[in-house]
Amino acid sequence: MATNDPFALDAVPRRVMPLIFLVDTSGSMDGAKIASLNTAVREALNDVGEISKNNSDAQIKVAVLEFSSGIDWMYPQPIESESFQWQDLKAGGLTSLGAAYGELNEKLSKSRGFMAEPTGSRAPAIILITDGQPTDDYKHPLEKLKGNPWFKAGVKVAIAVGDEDTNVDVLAEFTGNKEAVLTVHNVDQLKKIIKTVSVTASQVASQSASVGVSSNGAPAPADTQSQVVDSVTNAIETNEDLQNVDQGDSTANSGTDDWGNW
Amino acid sequence: MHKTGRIVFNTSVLGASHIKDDKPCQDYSIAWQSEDPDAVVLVVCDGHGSDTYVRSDVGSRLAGEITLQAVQAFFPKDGKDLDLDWIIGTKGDVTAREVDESLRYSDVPSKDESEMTESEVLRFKQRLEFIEQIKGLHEQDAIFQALFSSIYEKWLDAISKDAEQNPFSENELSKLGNHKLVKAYGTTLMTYVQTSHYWFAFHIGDGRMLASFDGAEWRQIVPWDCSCFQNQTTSLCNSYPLPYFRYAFDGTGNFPIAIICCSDGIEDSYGDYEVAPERLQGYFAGLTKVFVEEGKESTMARLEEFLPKLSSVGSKDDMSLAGLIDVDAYIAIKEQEDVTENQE
Repeated sequence: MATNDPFALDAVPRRVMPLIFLVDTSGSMDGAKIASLNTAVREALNDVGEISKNNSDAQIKVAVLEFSSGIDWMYPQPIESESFQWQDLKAGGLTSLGAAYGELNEKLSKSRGFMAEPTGSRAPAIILITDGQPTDDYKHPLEKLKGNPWFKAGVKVAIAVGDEDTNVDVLAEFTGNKEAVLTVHNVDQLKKIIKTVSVTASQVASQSASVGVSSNGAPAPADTQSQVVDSVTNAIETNEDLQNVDQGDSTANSGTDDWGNW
Repeated sequence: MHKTGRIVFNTSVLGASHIKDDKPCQDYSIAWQSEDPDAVVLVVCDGHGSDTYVRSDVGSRLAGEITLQAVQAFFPKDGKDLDLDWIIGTKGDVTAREVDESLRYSDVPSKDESEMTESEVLRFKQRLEFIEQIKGLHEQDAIFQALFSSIYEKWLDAISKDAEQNPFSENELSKLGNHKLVKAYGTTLMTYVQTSHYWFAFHIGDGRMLASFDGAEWRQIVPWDCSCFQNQTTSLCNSYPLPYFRYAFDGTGNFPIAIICCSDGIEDSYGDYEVAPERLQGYFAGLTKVFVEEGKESTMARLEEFLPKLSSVGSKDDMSLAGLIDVDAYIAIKEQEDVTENQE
């Protein structure tokens, strides 16, 4: 057993908080949606990189899983947000959301996946971006994913790209509550909400305070998910650029989809 | 090296985030030894940090004080020896048990493992460990369960009394929200007890208790509970916390050379114990060495200065340590190692 200098501060590591994007690259995302998504995430990652650099609590690493007829990680392991190089995604194929859930479950593990950081991992922030309904069986993989302790402890936000084919109820099954499902109706909103959610989730999920668990293991009070939802709600209410984003069951801006300018 | 027999120490330091948020230190620690210096009690309690737990500093202090009082029933009093048949010559370690009593002793999974979620797999494996560990320990288990129940009941009484004597302010009530009063006082509890005949230890919640029996390897003596995950922990404020107590005991004469308990504020500053245990183990090994070489007073002074800095660059959380070092045994082992090295 190595005997360390117990008064050395240079041995103190930062934990790692994975920021995971699940991106729908099915055929319906082709055109303005995927183009603006590529731009938006690339820009948002600059801000996330800054947060990570200046955050003494945790380093943020980014992973991207695209799903269409199949699934594919942009890189095999999460990469430091400061040096993450976004590769433009192309759209085509079906919406294998169930396969994406299954793959995510595999990677949210110390023994098999992304969470075996020697410096320690914080629960991930996971952002699902989709414009359609799953074309495979998503219920069964989602049930298993929901039993994953990293997923349970993590922050989950879903961005519905348009309201024509998306289903808030399906996305709320992923996030755990409808308030964490945000529906955007045009390119501008998509870009802004991606940035808002990425930055907020990164800021909140990379901090922590101890909380008790209930006897049945249910989420504890005042968890990070609630903090992110509260922050995003506040942003939607106060930021003029986001005021036409629908949150949860809201249909205030239903029917205003405009994806034709690109 | 100062040959001083035994060093017993504890400290609790306000965390960097608590300074920033103007919160009190929610950790509480005790290192107690009896006048007959054979009996030692170490306690570390970590009150929960989230805003809901508005009196967790009080909850942790009460848990520590009540526990110290409760375990003293295990020490000889007025020169009278206690009945030690239940522990002498025996040893064991038992993890947390299923809350659902109908499942507690079932070694049959409710479904095929491939269909289980990751949480279900972990809990089922832990249940199998519990079933194996508890075999042949029913007498000891009954004694420990009675102790845990007594501590919990007294803690409930004490927090009720505190709430009566110091009514909750509007601000506290608003932070507590719809949660029961017990949540306001939420805390973990970790305890090590040693006499000249035996030692036992118990734990509910997170933080780490590591012991070294040979001066080289450090290991957990109380089994972990998979319910403690990330910043979520089991707690005295659970609606039914008794099954979450886990424990270990040894009446065979095998005593640790050193044992150190720490709150998760310290543990989290040294990475993920499950992935890289050598970081915290190395810290404890180094700390033990400094205590032995420089003595208690000097090392404590350095710790008081160091821990706030560690909190600031590490977890930001409150930081507690409580430990016991058998200096004579440590020196004897190190001298033996030196002799062996020279012979080689």
